[in-house]
Amino acid sequence: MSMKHSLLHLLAGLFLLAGAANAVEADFSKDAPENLFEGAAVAPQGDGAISLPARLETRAFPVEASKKYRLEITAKVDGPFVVEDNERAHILTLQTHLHRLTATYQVVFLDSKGMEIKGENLRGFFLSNQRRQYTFVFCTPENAASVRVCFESNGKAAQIASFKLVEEADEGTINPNPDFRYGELSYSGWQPTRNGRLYTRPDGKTVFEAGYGGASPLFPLNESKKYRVSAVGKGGSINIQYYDKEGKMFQGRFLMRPAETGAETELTPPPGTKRGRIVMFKGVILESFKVVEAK
Amino acid sequence: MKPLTILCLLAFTTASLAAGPTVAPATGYRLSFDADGQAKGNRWVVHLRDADGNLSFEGALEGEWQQLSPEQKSYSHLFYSPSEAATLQVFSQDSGVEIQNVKLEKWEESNLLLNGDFSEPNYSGWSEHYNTEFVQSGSGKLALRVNLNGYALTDYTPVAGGGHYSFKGEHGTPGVQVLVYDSLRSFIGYADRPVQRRTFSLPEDAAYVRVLYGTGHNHLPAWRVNDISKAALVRAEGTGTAAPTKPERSRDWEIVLAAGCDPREEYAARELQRWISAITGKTPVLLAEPSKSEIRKIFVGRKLAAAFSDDLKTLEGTDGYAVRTKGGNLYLFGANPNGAIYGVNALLERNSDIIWPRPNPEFSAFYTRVPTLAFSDADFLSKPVFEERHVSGASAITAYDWESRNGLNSPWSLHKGNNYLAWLRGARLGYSGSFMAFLRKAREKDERISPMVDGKRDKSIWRQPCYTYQGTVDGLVASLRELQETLPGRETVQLHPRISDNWTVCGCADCMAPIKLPNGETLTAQTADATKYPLFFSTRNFLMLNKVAEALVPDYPDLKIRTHAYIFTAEPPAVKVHPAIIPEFAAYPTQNIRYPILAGEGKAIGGYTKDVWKRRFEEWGRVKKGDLGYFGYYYPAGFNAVADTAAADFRALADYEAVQVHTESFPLDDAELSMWDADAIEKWVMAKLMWDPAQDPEALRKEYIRRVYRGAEAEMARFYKLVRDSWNGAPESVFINCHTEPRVVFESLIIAPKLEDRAKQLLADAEGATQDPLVKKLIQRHRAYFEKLGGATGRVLVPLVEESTVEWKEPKSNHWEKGATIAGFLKVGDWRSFDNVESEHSSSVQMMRDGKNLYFRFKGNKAGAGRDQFELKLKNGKGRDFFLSVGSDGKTFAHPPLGNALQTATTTEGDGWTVVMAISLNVLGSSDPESSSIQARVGRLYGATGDQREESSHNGASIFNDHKSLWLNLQIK
Repeated sequence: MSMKHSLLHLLAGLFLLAGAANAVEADFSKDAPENLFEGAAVAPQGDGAISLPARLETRAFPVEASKKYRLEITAKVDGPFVVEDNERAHILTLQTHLHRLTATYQVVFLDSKGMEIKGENLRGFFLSNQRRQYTFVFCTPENAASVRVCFESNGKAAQIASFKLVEEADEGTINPNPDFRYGELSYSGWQPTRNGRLYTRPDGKTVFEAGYGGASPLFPLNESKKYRVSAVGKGGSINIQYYDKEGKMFQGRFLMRPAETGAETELTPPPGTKRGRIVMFKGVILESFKVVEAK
Repeated sequence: MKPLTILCLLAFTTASLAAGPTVAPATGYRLSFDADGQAKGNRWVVHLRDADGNLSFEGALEGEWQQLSPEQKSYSHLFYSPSEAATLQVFSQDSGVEIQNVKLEKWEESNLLLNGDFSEPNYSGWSEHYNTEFVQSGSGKLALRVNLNGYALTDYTPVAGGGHYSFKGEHGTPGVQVLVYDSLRSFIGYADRPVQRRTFSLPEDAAYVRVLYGTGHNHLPAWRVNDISKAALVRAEGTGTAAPTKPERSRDWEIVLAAGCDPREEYAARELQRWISAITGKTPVLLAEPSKSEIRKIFVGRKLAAAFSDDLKTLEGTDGYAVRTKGGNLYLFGANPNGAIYGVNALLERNSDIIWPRPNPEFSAFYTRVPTLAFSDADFLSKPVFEERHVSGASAITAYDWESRNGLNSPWSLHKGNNYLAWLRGARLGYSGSFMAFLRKAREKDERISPMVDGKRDKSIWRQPCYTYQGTVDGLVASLRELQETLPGRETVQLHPRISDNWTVCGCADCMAPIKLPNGETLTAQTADATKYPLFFSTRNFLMLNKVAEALVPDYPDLKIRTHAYIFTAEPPAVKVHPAIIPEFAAYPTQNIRYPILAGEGKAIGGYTKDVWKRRFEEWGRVKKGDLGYFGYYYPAGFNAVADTAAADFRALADYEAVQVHTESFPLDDAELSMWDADAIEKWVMAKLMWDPAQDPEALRKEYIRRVYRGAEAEMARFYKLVRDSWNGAPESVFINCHTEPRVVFESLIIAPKLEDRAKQLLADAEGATQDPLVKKLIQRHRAYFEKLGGATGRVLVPLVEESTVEWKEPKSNHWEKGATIAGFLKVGDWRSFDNVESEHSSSVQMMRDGKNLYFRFKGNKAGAGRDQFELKLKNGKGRDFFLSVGSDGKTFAHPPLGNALQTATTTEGDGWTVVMAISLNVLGSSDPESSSIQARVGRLYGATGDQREESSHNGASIFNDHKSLWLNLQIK
């Protein structure tokens, strides 16, 4: 295994400023992992991946507040509890506290004093015995100064082959993962309830079956701005919830109903709004939900 | 028109009344005559008397339209003679009028509707009409235009029961209904919707029809008027039976009703005639003049009650009634026509055992046949405590029948046009809708009426308007003013603008500005969130509505604007509400309807305190004493005693001198089982309480049981006592409102207090006790509904099968047939949605048990080419879930792992495959130690991905949807 390039990549990524050029990026078939992770040393195996110990944390990477980033992890997990062998592994994992039935990763925000910002629940999981990319797009809270990623194996044999953290610029929306383009195992903070989950349809498109009360991840909103919101999908209703600077939901109301041909509306958040999210009721199945600034 | 026979040519004056031509009964005629010397305002009158000289009500043709005019000399009049008619007289009550050249011709056209083509340029054949006018049609012919909310009715047209008829109009059949009546002219239903030139059949007991023309949706200009230029009803030759059997005439009573009376008084008199006939088998005649015979008379209606001026004065302005006995005759009247309807009901109820317990026509009336009715209890007067007594829900005419017969006057919303039959039954007429609906026209031109929501004007109709914008007030004033004029000449239109059914309010700067209160204080809201600031936004709402009332009252001094005090406007505002505004207080949704509002037993949740409804009710009662309305929710989904609650609430309303009482939501009562099969008794008691809440609900229940459950009174009394005791005696924690699931109501009130077996036995005993087939059928419906509610709890009795210990491993063992079976799986949604769609892959599950294990046998048809697995979810006594799946390939998965506590075996044979499974009861325990039940879900996953994927389950819900209502409760005792 070659480690000659690793230091260069990681140094470039210490500060995540504007543009993908400043990404944190590690390919463990080429790069040494020492500068990426805190604590116990991990070493790549012969297949160019590192085996996940019980818990592994990355260093904290500086981020800008209220910005959108994309985390990409290539990983696999061994054993029978994978989607290839057990179709119910997916829903059971979703319904289990902290997804502990399989190996997980969590995005943790830190403030300028290095203290963890509580109340953010941005967790993903690995659930395939094939090496595949898991993508997690997230928006940083307005008091975030840095971010770290914490892995937990939860007793599973899991390997990580690559890691990349980069400012997100491709989705074209304020909210993360607006069209579920990363497949049915990459939620990016979308939280279904009851029997809700992501499904990849036979035509290859992934859709979000919300369940009753399923929600989107939080995304930044500014009280003085006007936004255009669109939803493609069917069923039920979509409410919007507004969050203040303390991260408290202070107002919620009906926003729209999705339509298969696309539904659109505009909104200007009420005073005090810093972030928002949508909550869905009565059988919403979303193909996309997009929030952009209105011109 | 082609009259065939000229019968006579005579000259009449007022002096020649006695000598009229003879007429045949039940025959169509065309009468024509000349009149000289008339002054404007005089009418001609046609009287068709029987052989004894009696004038039946149908024989007195004294329509308002029969106007003589100085400018006109010749007149014509088409009519059907009554069934007993023998002679005809035509005259004017003005002695100066000379009637001559009288010609009477038989009308023998194939079109049975008199003057259906308006070849006679008058209302003959269309005697009853409202808000209509004659116009020239496009083809230049005369047409009758029905204006907004108007109607035009053809006269009673004799038909043959069971006959086939076709209807023909010039422009199709919009806004047309064919009303079918029996031989007593009691409405018995609608004919199939008349479709142009298509034959429809009439019921066997049909004797008359009337064709009713109305108007439709008032927001669609095309439906606001209905022009009639041709209406024809033709009988298919050879169809229909002969004329109906003549009812036996009563020698005890005759009913007298003033010719030309209000149609509602006629309806009341016909109801009286109908029920006397049903109870005694003898029919009192309906006369326009009392006969000279000794037969006792019942005079119906205000016009004939002039001798009772004190009573009329007492009743003025109410729906009340009086029945008085004088000289052996009875006088039944109200100050308004509805009073006669309610008076008839009261007279019959007090002098027979008749009851109208349900809207369902099959159970609409119960009574004992007796040879005579003495009407000895015939000296009383009653006024309702509440001016308006409303039930909302089903709008079928059967619902209005029931309501009318039990003292209610629920309104009909005119936005779809008038409802003649509902109005005839006492319904108030008006408009009800959200402010935004009333503001429809104004909103089209002015977006500022729409609220500012999240920084933009939200044009959804489901919002509240901007409360502070003057355009909102002006738009509402204009709308209410226009609608107020849409029932010309009739009672005041009821106007009911209200908030939309949500919390979203306008957040514009003006609406959010602090409100200066009359006491100098200031009311503020930090955000446009009515959940947090109900007082602020309720105040905004009523400030706006106050302005509307202030603008209208100078022109409409009697105006009352009804509105909801509901959601955030349930909070009494911090300003005085205009006297013309009637807020309908709604204690929703956290009030526990097992308790009266003033008991303060609501659910403390969110921003609601336990006693919030008590506080608000008391406050509304104080500030709107004499002007308060009420919107109730007395419809729990199961057997209940909610009338106990309603009685207390209605009494409180009476103390507040409320003008209106209401409950939502009585469903349609028809052949399908419905809540009427659980609590018709409560609904009837509440209707009675709406007239007089001082009555004892338990005494009313006893009355209901006595009148309805003939032969099974004791058993049904015990059954209802069981229900009532449970309703009132359940622990305080049992919260029930109108949205509480049927399953929960049943579990809380029947299963938890262990009443199920006893209740079922009492119903079974009741069915056995009665010999009355109708009562038996009614109780059978109670039993069926009881079972249905019990089934909604998801209970499945898993039998103890001794042989199961050994036999479970054998999938073909006959002992599996002793087990409980679940089949008929339904598709579960994934990226697709399904609603009660049967699975394409048939599946079934059998369950049995011994002392140690619970056994399952899953059977499926052809195994899926890819993955195909049966799935089971179980919840143990500690609420812990177990998920098990067994594939057609035998692969077993359990989460959490069950080790030796789980055994499975899979076999495939032919097109099917089977899994048998044993699960240790020790592992599962019981979900509920009291009932020894285990909660379970069963399902199947066929093909994991792609189009072939199909998930199915016993109830069509994913087994991963954990909602408590979706579980089966396996009974293992």
